[in-house]
Amino acid sequence: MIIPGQAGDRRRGILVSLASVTVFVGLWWVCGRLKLMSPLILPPPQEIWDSALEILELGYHQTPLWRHVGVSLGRALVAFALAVAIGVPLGLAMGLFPILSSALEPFVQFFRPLPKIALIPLAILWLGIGEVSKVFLIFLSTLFTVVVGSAASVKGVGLGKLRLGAALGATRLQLIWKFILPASLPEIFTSVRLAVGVGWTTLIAAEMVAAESGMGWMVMNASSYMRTDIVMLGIILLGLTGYLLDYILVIIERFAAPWAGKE
Amino acid sequence: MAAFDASKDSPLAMSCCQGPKVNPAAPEGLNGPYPVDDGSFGPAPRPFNPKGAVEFKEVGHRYGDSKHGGGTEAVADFSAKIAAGSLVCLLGPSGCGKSTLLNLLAGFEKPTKGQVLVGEGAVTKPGPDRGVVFQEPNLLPWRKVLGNITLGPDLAGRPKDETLAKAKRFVELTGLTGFEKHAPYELSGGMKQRVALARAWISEPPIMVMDEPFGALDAQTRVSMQELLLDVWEKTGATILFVTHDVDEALFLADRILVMTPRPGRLARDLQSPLPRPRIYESLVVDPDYALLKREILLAMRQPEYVI
Repeated sequence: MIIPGQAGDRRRGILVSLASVTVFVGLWWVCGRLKLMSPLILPPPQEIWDSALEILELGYHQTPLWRHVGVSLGRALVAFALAVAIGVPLGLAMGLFPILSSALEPFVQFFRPLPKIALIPLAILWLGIGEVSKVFLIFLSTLFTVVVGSAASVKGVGLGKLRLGAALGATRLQLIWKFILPASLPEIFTSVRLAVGVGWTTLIAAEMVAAESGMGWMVMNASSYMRTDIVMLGIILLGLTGYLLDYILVIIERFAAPWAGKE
Repeated sequence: MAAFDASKDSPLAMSCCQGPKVNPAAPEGLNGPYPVDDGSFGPAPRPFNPKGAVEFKEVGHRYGDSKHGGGTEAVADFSAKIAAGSLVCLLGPSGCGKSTLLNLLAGFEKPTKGQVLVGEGAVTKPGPDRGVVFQEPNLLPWRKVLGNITLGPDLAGRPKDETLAKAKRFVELTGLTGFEKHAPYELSGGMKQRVALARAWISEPPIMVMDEPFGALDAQTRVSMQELLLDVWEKTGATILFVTHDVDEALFLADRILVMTPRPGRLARDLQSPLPRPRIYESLVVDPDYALLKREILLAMRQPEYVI
């Protein structure tokens, strides 16, 4: 339930979040200490920490840890940038022009819920086993959410604002640039955040395609050697990086659309 | 601005300093002697723009499937001539089609029957000759207060310094001095509506269309906004068509009150206000004429058969 914020609520919220994470890790640590579970099934935090330090120093399969993180981030960011650069204008155009929307809607709704792993064979067949097919898979899973969200954001612009523009003598172009686009901005940001979340989940699928580095590949590879500690480390890194990506988007939105949610 | 200057030769347009014509036989109210109510629907004695005349000509409007007689009939057979420079209130219960009439005048919708005329032509689409103030302030949150006020001139590509000079005048008139750089979401409801007023008025349209602009405000703020509206109106001379369901609001503001019937909206009563200006809210409510006019309006709104 949302209660209108009081002073200090934000700080209290952060403290509660930190406390709950600390309690969770603490319980996990105690479980490991008491040897309640085999480290093969659930390695304790200490062991994961040690492996992290180890592969930071020596690398995993001759590749340093930062490179695994960097390679994955690179693939994802290129895909996200392409998806936003193509998806936002396309979605806006669909929102503005019903004919375009009717023409593209069937494809968008077909591809959006499709499990992108199913496209791996086609991606390899068409684009080979290089970086392009990996970026392509992440791009596809991001694109359609951006398109649908951007199209919906245009329809969400209130009739009042459009009538205001018309009454003030705005031309069609002015209505689009000065009214519809800025009014859609907060919702576009929301859809990009959702899409980045969806795209990030496809990373593993993308790195199943003949990869030799990357966090997703590291997890898959470590699992075949029963290195549960490294699997867990990979999962933690994937989660934290995803968290960070979303946070960066929140910060950008705060600058680009400071009015979001305050109207 | 020349268009707003009342010509000295015109018998209709008196200078604002001359004061209203006084009927010596009329009893004296708290506001002093009453003006002559000679039945002429001439413009009020203040500056006005001759382009501000409005005429509803047998206007009917039906939503939905109008071809086969289905849908909802919002307005039926509505005719009224509104003199340039006057302040006319459209009064009626919710759903009586008064907002529909404003939408037709603003050009947001086309009447399914009849015509709405302004100046010399029929209304076909929205235009900057008709300023609109909505019930919602409808401010653009990505623009500061000043940017919202200058929106119209900015869209029309007017020179920046000219626009800023005008904006300064309307910021002062609407009591927004010191708030120019605030974001709209930092303002109270009343302040937001002041910005909306200034935004509509900065281009000095001959006609102002107001759809219950103070309906969402609390009683105290509403009274001060009504006083502000009268103040700005007397200084600019626009024709105002003001929709409200609040009888006291109509009585306080209007030269003339058009009472509408429930759906489909028809003209029930066309009443000229005898109340003198300047009006003082506290004195007005104990004025016998005020009470009589209010009684007449209340009766008209209660009984549909009261329709003449």
